[in-house]
Amino acid sequence: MNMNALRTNSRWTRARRWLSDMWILWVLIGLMVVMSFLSPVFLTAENLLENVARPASIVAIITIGMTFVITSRGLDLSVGSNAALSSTIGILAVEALHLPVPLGIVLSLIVGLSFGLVNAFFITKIRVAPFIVTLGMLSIGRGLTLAVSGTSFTYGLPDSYRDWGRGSILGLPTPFVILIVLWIVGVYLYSYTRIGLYARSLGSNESSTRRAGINGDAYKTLYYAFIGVLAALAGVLWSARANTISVTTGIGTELDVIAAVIIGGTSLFGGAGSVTGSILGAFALVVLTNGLQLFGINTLVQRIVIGVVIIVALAVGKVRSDRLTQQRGAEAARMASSVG
Amino acid sequence: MKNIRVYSPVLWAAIVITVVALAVIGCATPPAGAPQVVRETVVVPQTVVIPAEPAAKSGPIVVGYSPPTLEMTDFYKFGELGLQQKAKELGENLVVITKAPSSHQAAEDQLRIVEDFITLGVDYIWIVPISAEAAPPMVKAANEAGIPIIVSHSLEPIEGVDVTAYVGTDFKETGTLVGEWVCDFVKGEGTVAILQGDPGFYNDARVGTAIDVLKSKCPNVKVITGEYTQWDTQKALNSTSALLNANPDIKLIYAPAAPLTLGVVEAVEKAGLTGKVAVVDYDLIPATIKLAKEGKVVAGLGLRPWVYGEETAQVIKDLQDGKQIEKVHNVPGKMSTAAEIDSAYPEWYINYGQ
Repeated sequence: MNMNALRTNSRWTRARRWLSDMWILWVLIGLMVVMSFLSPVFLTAENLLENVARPASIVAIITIGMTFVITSRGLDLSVGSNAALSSTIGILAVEALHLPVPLGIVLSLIVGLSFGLVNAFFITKIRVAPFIVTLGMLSIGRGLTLAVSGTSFTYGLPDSYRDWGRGSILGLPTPFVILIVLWIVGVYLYSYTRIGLYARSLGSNESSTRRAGINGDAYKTLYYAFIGVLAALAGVLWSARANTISVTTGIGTELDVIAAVIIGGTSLFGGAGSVTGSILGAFALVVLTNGLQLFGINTLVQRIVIGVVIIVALAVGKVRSDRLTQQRGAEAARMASSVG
Repeated sequence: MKNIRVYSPVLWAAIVITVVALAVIGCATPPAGAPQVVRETVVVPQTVVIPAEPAAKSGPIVVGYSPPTLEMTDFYKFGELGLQQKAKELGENLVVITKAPSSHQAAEDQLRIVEDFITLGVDYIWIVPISAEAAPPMVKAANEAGIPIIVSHSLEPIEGVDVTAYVGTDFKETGTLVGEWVCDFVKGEGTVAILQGDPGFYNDARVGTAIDVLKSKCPNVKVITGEYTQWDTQKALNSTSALLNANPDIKLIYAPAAPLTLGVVEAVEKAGLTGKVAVVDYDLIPATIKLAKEGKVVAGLGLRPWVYGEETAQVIKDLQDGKQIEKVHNVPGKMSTAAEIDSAYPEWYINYGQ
């Protein structure tokens, strides 16, 4: 076999692999087909933009950061609290300190970044397990939000703030446009830079990575800082969309985000993942909820269906990944022998 | 453990969070137009012996107050406000310890709070259970400790335990009022959407009763229900958006709690249907009253949360004086249209926080 043929074959193989890895895309398409049969309004532009793309984009933004964190064998359970705290501080500063809205948003992002850095500190310097640290920060975040808001309730935010959550750019929901930009950034960082490479490396074998001279702590700090900023951004978009700030913002989000990332193909045990898959996972969950709701399925049944779909998706993903690992091992051996 | 550098970015992070939080707290202006609730954290020695007769105790009367949340709206703070104000009027020296569970679903948290109150040796416990189903263990714990317990919000009797007094509203009655009002408003026909909170008595009474009334009084009205929203604004927004999309003929949406109304109003506004789809609130807190005045909410089932506090203060005063008390203190709800709100509510309540 000559090298050109090998390259073409390799390109085709890569494309096939990508499509195969993106099995969540097929799940999403399948779900959309099923939902469009169940409800005639599912495929309308209004539904897809307002009830699917807008809410799904906000969750999907956090999944980008979570992909890096989980790939590096970490976890962040505090994203929902971070979202609530950051957005509350930002908007209260706009109201109490009369800051311009953009500055208030920047302040939210700084608080989110700080939240992520505190997580990273305890994980990398004190060596506390990410699960424990972020669980603690989940509670601290909610408590701080209550303290900052004085348990008072704020409804009616400035229009220029609300536009971030409910506005549109070129006919697309603003959160969706922001997601597209972040998706490009996320894929680039994950697949084409050391930031992504070291996340996979740390997740696969942390001690070997450190022995190779890579500053694992610095990269982990970067991942938690990144997800901190993204969670804060999501908090801003949520509160802007709902026109209110509340300590309930983002409650339970961590589970939605983790579920989306895992069904999107990222290994919960680290070492491998996909930013695109995570985003598609977030969309799949929202499509499922939206479709069942449009079809008029009882909420309690909805919860059961969603739970079953997540488990089945994960089980299928696990079986597939095991089989692929075997196939690819055999393929690599074949290619090595043919080149030789 | 590695050495921690003084100029660590994390140190800066912690400083940023603290400084910003303190700045925001410090600069936040208190709500105008109403007397302020004073929150006091009182540590009562654990060795305090709870007197069998509260009247025999001298010094401040300590009340442990546990609302289901302090986070969703100001609704439960008004209860505390009424309690403090009425106690002052009655000349009672009251200290209130307020503790709420971590979320509106955390029944175990609220039970733990009641157990903490018992350990602290409070004189009275006043609870607004997160759900009717969560109440019995809390009342039982108070009974076993011999502490009088007042249950608020719902008047549904709790079987098998001894509630000192119920101070609240008959939710089935209010559900009926809403159902009848909605039926009249839509003139007996059309599609009505009803959002839901969480499974349980509160939801069944406010939503289920309204649906039953609509079905019997207005059989031509088509009723559709949304998914359970866990009393959350974001989820109400999503649910309403989907309902409006799937049912373009909706004439009216009933939100069985103020946080849901806020989400419904946002979704209706986003869909460009303000004024075309009527929104009915349950609670009529100042935020939803404001929406009613802006024409975004046509009417609401109004409760008077501060009266819960006032009634509770009176119950405590009567118990302190050794008087016989009524078991049930009904604070009835009332449907009010946007135009009727001014006459139904005091000015300080309407303008609270504005």
